[in-house]
Amino acid sequence: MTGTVSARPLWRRLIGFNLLWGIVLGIVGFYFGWWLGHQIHAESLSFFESTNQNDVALMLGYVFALVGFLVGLGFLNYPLSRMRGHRATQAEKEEGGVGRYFTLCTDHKVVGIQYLVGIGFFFFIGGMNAMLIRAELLRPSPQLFGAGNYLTLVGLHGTMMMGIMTSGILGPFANYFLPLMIGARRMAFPRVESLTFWLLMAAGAILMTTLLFGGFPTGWTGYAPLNDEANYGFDSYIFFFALVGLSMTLLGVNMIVTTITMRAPGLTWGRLPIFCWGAISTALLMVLAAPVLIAALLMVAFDRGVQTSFFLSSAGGSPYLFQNLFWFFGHPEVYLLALPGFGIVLELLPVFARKPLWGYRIAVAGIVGVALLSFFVWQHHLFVSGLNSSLRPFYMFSTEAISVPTGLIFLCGMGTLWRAKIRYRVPMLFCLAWFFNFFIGGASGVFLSDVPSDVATHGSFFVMAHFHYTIMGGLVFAFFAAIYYWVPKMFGIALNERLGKIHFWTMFISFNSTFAPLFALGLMGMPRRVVTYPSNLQPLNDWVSVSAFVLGASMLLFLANVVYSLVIVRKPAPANPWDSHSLEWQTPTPVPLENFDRQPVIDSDPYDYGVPPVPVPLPPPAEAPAPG
Amino acid sequence: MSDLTIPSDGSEMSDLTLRESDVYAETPELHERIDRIGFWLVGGATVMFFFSFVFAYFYLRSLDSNGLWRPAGVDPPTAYGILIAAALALSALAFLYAARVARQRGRGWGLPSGVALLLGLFACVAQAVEYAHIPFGPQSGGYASVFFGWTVFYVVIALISLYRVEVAFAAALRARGEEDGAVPEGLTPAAVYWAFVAGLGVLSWIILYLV
Ligand code: HEM
Ligand SMILES: [Cu+2]
Repeated sequence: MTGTVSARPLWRRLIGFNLLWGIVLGIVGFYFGWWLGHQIHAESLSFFESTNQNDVALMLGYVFALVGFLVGLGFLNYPLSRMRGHRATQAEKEEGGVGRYFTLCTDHKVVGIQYLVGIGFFFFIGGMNAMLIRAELLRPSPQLFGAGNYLTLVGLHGTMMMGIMTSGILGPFANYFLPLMIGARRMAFPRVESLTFWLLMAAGAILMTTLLFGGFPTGWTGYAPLNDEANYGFDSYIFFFALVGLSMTLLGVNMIVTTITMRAPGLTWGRLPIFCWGAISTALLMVLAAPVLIAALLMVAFDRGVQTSFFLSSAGGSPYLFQNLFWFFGHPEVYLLALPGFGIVLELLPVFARKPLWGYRIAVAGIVGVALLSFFVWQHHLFVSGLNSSLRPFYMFSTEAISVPTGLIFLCGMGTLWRAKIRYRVPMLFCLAWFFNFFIGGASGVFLSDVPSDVATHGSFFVMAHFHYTIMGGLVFAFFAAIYYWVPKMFGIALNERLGKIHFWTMFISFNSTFAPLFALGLMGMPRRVVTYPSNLQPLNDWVSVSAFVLGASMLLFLANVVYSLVIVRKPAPANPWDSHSLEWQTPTPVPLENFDRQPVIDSDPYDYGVPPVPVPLPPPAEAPAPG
Repeated sequence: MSDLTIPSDGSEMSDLTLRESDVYAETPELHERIDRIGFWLVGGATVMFFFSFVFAYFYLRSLDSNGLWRPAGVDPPTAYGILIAAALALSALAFLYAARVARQRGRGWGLPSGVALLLGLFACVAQAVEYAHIPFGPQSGGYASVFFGWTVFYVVIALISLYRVEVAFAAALRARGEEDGAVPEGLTPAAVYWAFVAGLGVLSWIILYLV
């Protein structure tokens, strides 16, 4: 099959619906939109003439660029065929060698790997920005960038990380493994699955273009009224986050529907692997929170483009409207970053502790509880904003209430480790580090949810330390655990264990030595997003910067491991290197297109370690009942 | 079979036939269920999207910054509002009817789908025409902002939702003359979703024109 395809000359294979044409049509679309925007004249747009900044043109440019990109990738073919009355189909371009990685492919395993590489790329860019920030902060007064460029840099770093890494675990790992874990052979909406990936890539590219338009001054939160006043560059922020929001919403819908409808017979809710619980709770937050972000950003777009006044109190609006809507999305967003990490860690612990997951039901309740509570806390970000202060006690209480379900998850983790014969392999090390880091992140969060101490720490580097401990120490450590754990399944080759351990220890130590001092810096009054700081803080800042460079170097160690193991040595991994009982490891490697050649039927828990392994029995073909 | 032989118009592909013959075949019930739950979730997302505008409406109204929430004369023409809401409601009813006929008789859903499509498009066009005849602009204060933002994005979402109405109609056209013109999968969930979106449109009318 593949043979016939690769026999064609390269130029012939490049013609068709693929990334190349997506980019070409995207650029054409941009210029078309830009031109179109300059042709529109209306009363509410007349102010553009006096500012020589036509936001409508730039926004239309982005809109048409996106349309061109999706057309080039082939996303319109199917809807158009259905609009001409053709029937529904499920698959597209699932075979054909490397080519399917550069186009709309409906194989969930391809999409998982696309996500892994794509997200890795933008994570790298975000990380490079962090290095530049830390380089600037080596001295108390501006040296590399002016105040404005520094602000853009911080905004780019934060926005890129928040936007892209939200899909950091669901994108690669849930897309790849959730169907395998539940015994399905595809996702419920395979084209939508591919769409979420390409939307995210388009978003990342759009955010980068802000550099061509002068950047944006708001940081990742995009607060009003600065967002109405900012230059061109803020339009990139709007489109980036709106597309990320769209991608998240669709990703969430797809995950939930897949889990509800495609589970193999016997896989009751009580047997669903905990990672899947993490994934669908995250998904639920995505579906309900991201649309609010999209709406808020479209309001900004209207304010900037057609002169509405959603956020201008001088004209009947209010900046608080934005702040409320943003954090109504924004707080669930931070749990979007945390929950998949919970899922990964609890999924891997039993494998390496060789014990069943302790308190499975409690863990599920904890995850779902965190997800639901996260909608009722958003105003803790606005304690010092001047909003009605009688609301504070409620939000303080609800925020602190979240530590209860979070505590349950810790409890389950500790219960699993209790008296276990732990195997300290690389994925396990990352999981254990997760507990350490997330504990510090969580405990410092209590100070921020407490009004009296938040008044002192808000907007300082204390906050910076807190959320890097939760996001980087939580999400990114879980991300690496997942990579080391599942790469043998995805590529049939394991990452080198020794290099992995070196990577882990450098990363763990330098991470803590980078972010722990930020608590102190914050308490000593160092503000976020400001390029200067009091000169007596320089020694500590230099320490932090040097640690950050080591942290950056540890990422290069990881890349070296990838190149060494996956490109140079290529030693095949054993079929089930961690002796996991989970369903994804019972399939052959590489996983066949249809995942399972017969419908699997599940008759045991996913975490029956310690009891002799039960092979997954297969029913005689004819009796297989429909899934669901 | 290579990927290049898969027709890009998405018509029947050999891949699918292969699946239908094995034990793992997916049933139409499964597809219907996927669509139903999918639409529920998309419905939830849609509600949250408009919830933001509802929130903006009541929040800005209660603040009335600088007395500019709704200066005198900022009133959208009621006739248009009624026209749009009525067209939406009728369109939803027509499509629900189409789904019902298809379920019961396996054919005859084409005409009502066509009517639903026309009425839905009519509502969107009427909204656009209203903008040309409205006595205020987007810069006329808080209410005007909410009005324009809300209605513009309502039209966008309505047009996207009409996709499935069009698909049903097109399938009926193509099935004409065939013995067993297969009812497109997921017609009922699609009809329920469109009714839901149209309901949101009627709700918008109540809030924006009446409250
Ligand atoms: C290599 C590791 C990292 C380093 C050294 C680093 C460093 C920094 C620094 C110094 C700032 C604040 C600058 C300022 O306010 O003046 C910052 C902000 C931020 N970082 Fe990181 N960071 C790292 C990784 C991450 C990761 C993995 C994430 C999330 C996934 C992240 C998310 C953010 C966010 C959201 C902000 C706030 C931006 C804003 O204020 O708008 N960072 N980072
Ligand atoms: Cu929060």
